[in-house]
Amino acid sequence: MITLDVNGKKHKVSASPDTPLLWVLREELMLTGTKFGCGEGICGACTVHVDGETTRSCITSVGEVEGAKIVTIEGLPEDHPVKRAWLAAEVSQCGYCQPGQIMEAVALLRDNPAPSDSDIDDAMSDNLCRCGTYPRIRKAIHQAAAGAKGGAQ
Amino acid sequence: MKDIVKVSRRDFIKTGITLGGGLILACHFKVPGPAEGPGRPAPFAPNAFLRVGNDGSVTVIVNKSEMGQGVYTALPMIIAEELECDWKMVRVAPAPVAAVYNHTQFGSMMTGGSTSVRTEWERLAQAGAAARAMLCQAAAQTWKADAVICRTENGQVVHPDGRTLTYGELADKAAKLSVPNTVKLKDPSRYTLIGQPIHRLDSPAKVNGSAVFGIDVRLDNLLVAVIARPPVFGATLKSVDDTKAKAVAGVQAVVTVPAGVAVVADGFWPALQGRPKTIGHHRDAGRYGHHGLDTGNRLGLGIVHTFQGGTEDRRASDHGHQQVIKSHVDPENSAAVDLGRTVETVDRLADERIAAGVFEFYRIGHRELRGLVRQFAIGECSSVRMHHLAIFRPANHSIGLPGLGRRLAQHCPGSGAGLSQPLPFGANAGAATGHHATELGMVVDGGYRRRRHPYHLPIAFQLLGNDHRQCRIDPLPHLRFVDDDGHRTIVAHAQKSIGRKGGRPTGPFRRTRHFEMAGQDQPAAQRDAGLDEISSADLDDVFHWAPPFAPAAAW
Repeated sequence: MITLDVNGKKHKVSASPDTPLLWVLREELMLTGTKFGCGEGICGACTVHVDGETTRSCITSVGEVEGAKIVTIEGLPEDHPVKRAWLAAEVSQCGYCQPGQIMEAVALLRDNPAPSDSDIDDAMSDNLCRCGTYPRIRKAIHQAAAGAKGGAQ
Repeated sequence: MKDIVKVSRRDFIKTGITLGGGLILACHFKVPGPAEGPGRPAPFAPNAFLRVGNDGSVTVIVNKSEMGQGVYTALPMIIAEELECDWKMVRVAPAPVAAVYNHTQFGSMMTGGSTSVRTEWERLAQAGAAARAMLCQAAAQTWKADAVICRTENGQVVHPDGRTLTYGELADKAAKLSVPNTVKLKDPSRYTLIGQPIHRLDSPAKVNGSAVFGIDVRLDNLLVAVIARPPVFGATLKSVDDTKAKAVAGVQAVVTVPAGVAVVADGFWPALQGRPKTIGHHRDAGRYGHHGLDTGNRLGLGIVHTFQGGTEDRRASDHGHQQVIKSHVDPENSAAVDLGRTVETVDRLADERIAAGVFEFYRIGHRELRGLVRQFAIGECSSVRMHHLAIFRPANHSIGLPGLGRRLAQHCPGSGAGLSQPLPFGANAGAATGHHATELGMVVDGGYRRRRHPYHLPIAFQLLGNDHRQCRIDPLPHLRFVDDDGHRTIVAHAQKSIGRKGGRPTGPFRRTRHFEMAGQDQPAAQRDAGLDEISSADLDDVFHWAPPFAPAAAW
């Protein structure tokens, strides 16, 4: 048995240590907000945070992350500024990649509270969106950055 | 012309959606136009459902797939406008599959061609207006007044003296009334909702991760199947060695289906593990078959959920025939259930369109693109002749072209349903939900990529254009299509990832290549020559670097 710390809760999971985290989240813990896209860590749909770092859960085995703090899209507060900005900008179309996009954006804003366009492009280029929501993703990240700044004042 | 009927709760449940009490309306609406010829009874295409709950909620059952085009918001707006309900109380439920939800023009349950709003408008407006009239009538009865003196606003009926009753309070009473034969629709000048910008109803679930896509559907005794597809378009399976696949813990069965070989397992992970261990030998497809015969890793990702022991499923006994379950949010992941022998996909035309699109991609001709398309198309449309040009149009666009065939996913229920038949779990066990992950431009096959070009990854491309040679630029930074004096010039872009440093690819790039394609009348030999020329082009001559956010304007 492996114990995983997901969204602040400890879970004992029966999967073998080499099972990708993605499938344990989705099929054992039923946290299906994290998506399966390419299965090779390329598209970013499966992005979660492991000890704060964005991680492609489809190529990360559960054995590697035992004891680490894992946060999925379900673990973000409903009023998280990034989620609010995502809604305000109506980023989503089909929505499949958006949990991964949001997790990536949250990490970006933590590291860089006022990113430039090119900072955003650089940080987000690993998360693919077939709907082409990239311009609105950028807009929402700027909005979230501005909102967080405003809130601090 | 119009026939609005009440639907019993039992009927409603039989179609697969469970709702509470309240007022449920189905609109039966005769299809106008050419179908209504003499001696040929016009088909009835009833399909829209509306429920006003005791709590004042208004649930609109949408018979279209939400793929990001906004149909889960647009169609409810039509009803809400006429119903004059509180928009904040509007909910959406996906329609189950039933003939009543068929497209009014195309006769099958499908979403496409930019037809959703225009074909649903009238009957949804009628449904909203009829429900409003019945709620008014219910209020008038309560007040012992004439319904004509009542007006409605924001989810309540208002008496001239100021008294009000909410729709929720009136729902049960209204449900006992007969549906009016005729209703008057609002004059558009009185619209308060239609024409106003409004937030999408599907966004919150997509942002917090609770949206249910096909891949997220969970059912009792669910198994997952992953299909190993032939490596070459048109190839047929000669033999299968499934020993290694079956040795994977959790793999329940390996079965041959028209699309290839399906590995059926307890979950996705064992199925994915089992698939590359399935060794298939294929008969080469001739002209398009220049690759090896082992299936190995070069497989698309058509994924199919399937039940084990489906005979105990209530739906099986209720219907005894196939049924398609649409996922709640249906982008790339359509879901299908086959409870018998008949196979029907949500979109019968999808295969043909895919085949046509595949041909287009062949004509684009880049090896990688060809390889990509090959995987996604093989099996699904190998029986379709590819002799004409057709081009997919993505629904996602900012330039005013309608969307069509963007997802290419609705054929997948066919795979699911087809797979359910050879499964070794009993004759009637075939309840399958299909998940399609091999998205055009989303998923590429790792084996193929690794073998051919270790660092090159073409992903996320879309074609844009139509068969009137009006081709536009796709806003996606990966591929564009421009009209060039009657010839089609395709500019192919691909992103690639070069290795990974600290979990990130070192950078995407853009390379560009132009070549011309003539229209359908081009002699076959000429087309073939072009194909050969293109297929022999070196990858590095074809792509150029670009940032992933490169706006279309920069081109």
